[in-house]
Amino acid sequence: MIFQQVINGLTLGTTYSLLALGYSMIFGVLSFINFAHGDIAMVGAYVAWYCFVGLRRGFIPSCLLAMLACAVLGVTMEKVGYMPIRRAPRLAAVIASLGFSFILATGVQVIWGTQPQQMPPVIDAVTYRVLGVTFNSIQMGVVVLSIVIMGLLQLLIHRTKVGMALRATAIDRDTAGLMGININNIISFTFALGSVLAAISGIMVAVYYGALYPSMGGVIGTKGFTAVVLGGAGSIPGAMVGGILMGLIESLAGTFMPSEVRDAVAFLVLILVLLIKPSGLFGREMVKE
Amino acid sequence: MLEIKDLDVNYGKIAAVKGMNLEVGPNEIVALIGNNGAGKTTTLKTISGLIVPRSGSIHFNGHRIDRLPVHLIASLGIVHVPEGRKIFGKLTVYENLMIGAYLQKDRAKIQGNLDRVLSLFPILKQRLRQHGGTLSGGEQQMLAIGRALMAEPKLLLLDEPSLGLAPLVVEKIVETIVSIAKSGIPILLVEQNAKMALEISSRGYVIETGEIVLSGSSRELLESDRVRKAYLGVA
Ligand SMILES: Nc1ncnc2c1ncn2[C@@H]1O[C@H](COP(=O)(O)OP(=O)(O)OP(=O)(O)O)[C@@H](O)[C@H]1O
Ligand SMILES: [Mg+2]
Repeated sequence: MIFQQVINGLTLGTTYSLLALGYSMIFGVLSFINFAHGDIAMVGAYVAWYCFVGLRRGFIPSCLLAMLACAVLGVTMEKVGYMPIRRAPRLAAVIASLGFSFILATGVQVIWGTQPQQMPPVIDAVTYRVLGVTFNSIQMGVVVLSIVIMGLLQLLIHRTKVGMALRATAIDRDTAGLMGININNIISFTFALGSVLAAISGIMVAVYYGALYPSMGGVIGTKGFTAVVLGGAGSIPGAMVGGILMGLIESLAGTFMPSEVRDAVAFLVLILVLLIKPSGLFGREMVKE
Repeated sequence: MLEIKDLDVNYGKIAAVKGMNLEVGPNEIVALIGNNGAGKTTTLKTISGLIVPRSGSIHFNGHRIDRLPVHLIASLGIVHVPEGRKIFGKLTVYENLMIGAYLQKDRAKIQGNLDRVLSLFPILKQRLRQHGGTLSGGEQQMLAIGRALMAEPKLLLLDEPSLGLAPLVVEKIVETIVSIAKSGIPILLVEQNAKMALEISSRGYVIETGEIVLSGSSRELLESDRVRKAYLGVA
């Protein structure tokens, strides 16, 4: 029973990790939490669903299109909304992001309706039973793919020139500029990358539950954001570990509590972390900044 | 080379630089001296594009640069070593040097510059894998200058390179500055240590509350009553 929940938690958790990475990278370069990030994931799920079900395209092309759409959306959001207020107090950016969150959720409701949509199975899921624990090929795909993506991201950030520029920009934007780094390009790149990861995360959640709905951005966004606080804001490994922990906590809590309370667990974790260790497991303290 | 004309810089309503005229020619060290809050850092930040001036102009090698973004000014070869060194603390020493070479494309040249910087500051060689933030103040200043040299500067802006360093380290930095200038890179040197700055420069400017109040050859400045009283502590 417990092992079963661990498997489920791991699956959910890796999708939260992908989402948390975007929150954390954006926080790293611009020092604010982009509350529209969860809604980008939701838009990604919708675009993929629409191409796959509505336009009857293949699943992989549908995902690629959703990733592209989210990248464009994320970069546009930054250019239109966040760039003009880059030197303003960070609360202004937080409020702008709440505005974007509202716009995206409403926009999707206008286009595709307020009712949940069904995500048909993308593959014929094979179910495995090992030592009394069941898991299927979708769960395995989610976990393996997430881990591969996170590995690639680590390589990108630590082994490439653009990754080095990204880290330098996160540490000290002005001095990075003095090195000849085009800060605007790095920030756009961060939003594009974060949004692609969000799209993948949103699609995975929709496939896993077989459903998508306009307010899912807020629901998974809260978990991704809590994962960041748990792991430590601005820390890439923190976001990965935080996401997986969130998935596990949520899944185990679901075993002992009625399932309606499950989504509230994220808030409980959030409050506890902020009370006990505001800097999270790996990162810097966010509330002060 | 560098030509600043009638430059005004404000922070909101506060004027930090007023009507400044300043030039740096090829092959010279030019000193800009003044007390705390005089406007020295503001001047350098305006040259490198971190601050946009209110009025006036800055030309560098025929380009007008006072409205260009920071990274384009850097790409013209103006390299700014900021006040407080601004080492990337969580990047390794090696990465700090390589990020100095961010705009350089030729790998062989980058390697050559790295070898030169490491022979100039051998201590950095033992620290390459360490985080920049773990270095001592003197080592960080060496790293900041080394990082700047990796960019193959055509003009070097140094903001208080001697600040907070032990006398022996200051000596080493001063030697390095002189040898960089000898290699043909002009330097605009900002210092509160007026004696040191005027001893190694050919010309100097004195700035007080945003205005250039005195300028001339460094030898004349060292001997002028005004500089001796206000900056060299001679009664
Ligand atoms: N970001 C800022 N906002 C408002 N005022 C500023 C800002 N930075 C500097 N100033 C003011 O502008 C004036 C010039 O400051 P600047 O840093 O250029 O002086 P400085 O000559 O470099 O001094 P120091 O030797 O202490 O480094 C000072 O009065 C300072 O208080
Ligand atoms: Mg200063």
